[in-house]
Amino acid sequence: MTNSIFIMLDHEEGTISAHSYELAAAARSIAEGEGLSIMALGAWNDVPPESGKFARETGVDLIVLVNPGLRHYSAEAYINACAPFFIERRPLLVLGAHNARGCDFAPALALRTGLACATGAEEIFAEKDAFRAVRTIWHGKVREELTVVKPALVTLMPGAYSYEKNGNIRPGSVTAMAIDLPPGKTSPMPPISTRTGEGAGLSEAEVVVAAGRGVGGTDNMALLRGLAGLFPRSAIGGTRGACDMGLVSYGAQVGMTGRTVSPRLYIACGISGSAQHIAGMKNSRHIVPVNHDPDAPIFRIADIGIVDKIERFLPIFNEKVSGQGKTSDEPQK
Amino acid sequence: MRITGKETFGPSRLKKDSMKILVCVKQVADSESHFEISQDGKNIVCRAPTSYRINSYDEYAIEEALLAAEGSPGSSVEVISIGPDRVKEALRRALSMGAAEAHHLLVEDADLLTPESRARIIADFAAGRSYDLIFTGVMSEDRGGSAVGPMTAELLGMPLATHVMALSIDEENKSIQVEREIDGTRRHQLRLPMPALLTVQSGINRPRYPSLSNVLRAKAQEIPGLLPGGEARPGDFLTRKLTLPPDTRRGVLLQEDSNSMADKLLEYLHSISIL
Repeated sequence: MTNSIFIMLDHEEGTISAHSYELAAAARSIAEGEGLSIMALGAWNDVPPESGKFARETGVDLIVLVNPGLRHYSAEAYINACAPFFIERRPLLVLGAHNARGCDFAPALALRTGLACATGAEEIFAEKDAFRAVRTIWHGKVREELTVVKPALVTLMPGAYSYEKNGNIRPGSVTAMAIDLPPGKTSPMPPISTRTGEGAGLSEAEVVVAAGRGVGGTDNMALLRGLAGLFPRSAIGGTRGACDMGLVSYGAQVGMTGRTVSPRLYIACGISGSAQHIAGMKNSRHIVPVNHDPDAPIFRIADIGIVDKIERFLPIFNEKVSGQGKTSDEPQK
Repeated sequence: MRITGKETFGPSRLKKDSMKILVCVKQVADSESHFEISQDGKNIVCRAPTSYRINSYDEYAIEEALLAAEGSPGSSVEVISIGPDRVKEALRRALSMGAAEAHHLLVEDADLLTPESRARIIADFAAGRSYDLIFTGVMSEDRGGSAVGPMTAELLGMPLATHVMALSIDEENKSIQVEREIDGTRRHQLRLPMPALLTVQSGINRPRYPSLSNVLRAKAQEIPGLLPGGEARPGDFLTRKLTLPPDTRRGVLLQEDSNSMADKLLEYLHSISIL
């Protein structure tokens, strides 16, 4: 076991995600004072175009394993590419993104390379013989502290660490490393785009009105649309659960497997506040939940929390605002 | 420990082209129910037995398995769950949805099992039983780790796809084509040979309600408790402590009549110049 932390570069085809930068920030927080080196590992059919920018801005040396078989993602090829590398380099810690890519390859990669594996962590600290990882479980209601023995692979929730640009950092290098890949069983094909139009206004919206399971049914969505209509630059979003109930389209999902938003105001209606949803909206400037359950975890990050039923509170509030005659613009979305 | 009773099961394929499908289901504590954290800080405890139900993500996996089986006559769907005696209720739910057979791997303190230990138990059970497809939900509602499925695939040497949002089966080629959801706007496409393991994203289908005839059958069906095999590597990770999350609220919680809360919210939105 060496003294190195490896970041699994999170990239969708050749596009390096913001999550990769967060992993660099997390690695730096652990490495500080422990004398650990930080490196990043990517695997694709070429060096991703923004690799230089990533290495320069984070100060992390990036190695990209290159093979034509890595053009489109499959867990099998990705693990086949990365496992021999880690078996040879024997890292102390590997950090991955807890998203649809990281969740796909990380647990199996850990098993194959003999790393202990913990997933979905929000904080991680180095201790003498182990890492301490903290995560929120059970719909956001319980905080779990884990002891993860060294060496380990840990996936981090999106948004768990924030990356800040540091102008004084020594730029990292980028190294392409051609590798052999055994023939795989899986045949990856080009990714497809789905529902591009839906929820497109979310990232630019100043106010997001979001629905959770607690909204109950499609009838109450009219109240949420009425609320959104009070603000000139607003959009409707929802939790995974709201999408599954058909209240909101999947393209407008906010959270780990959906969009990440940071509007000026986030009004969370009938949302309990699972770790997966919080990951997508916690950087909103002002957070206002409306939920009848005073114990809903979402209230922990609220600026002002309304304990009430959606169908009771929204008609009264919407009426008060529209009665003021203060807003005249139509909503964009 | 090795699994007992493995030999008592029949030939792997019922007939040519039919599929043998396994769905891994977990029983979880309902997050709406009253709970306590155990004194040693390691467990979530719900006193009422009705507080436990099948992990909702696994219901999508069961539905997808049933749809796959219905598409290939002669196919059968089996379900497996790890835990104390109460997990039989989750298995019965799966039977009442239409699964043919249930396997209960008896572990009293299953909440303390790491994902790796769970995967080793499932893989040990499934090895040699010639499943063509293994399904499970994308994550559990309680721990939310998304790790057991991928680890099971690794142990069984099966190709894997997680977050599956669409699936079509090519029986002739014994392969499946899947779409994996990356985010709201993008999907990966893969073709995998069978046998394969898939974790199913919520929303892929609408899990069916149990039919009366299946409910009656499930009630009468014996679910034997098996002893688990599959040794986990020592170490891995341990739950050190469960606590209630700290209250990091920056603001106030209003719990009064709707009218005055509406006034206060309006005042607040004025103060931050949003209205």
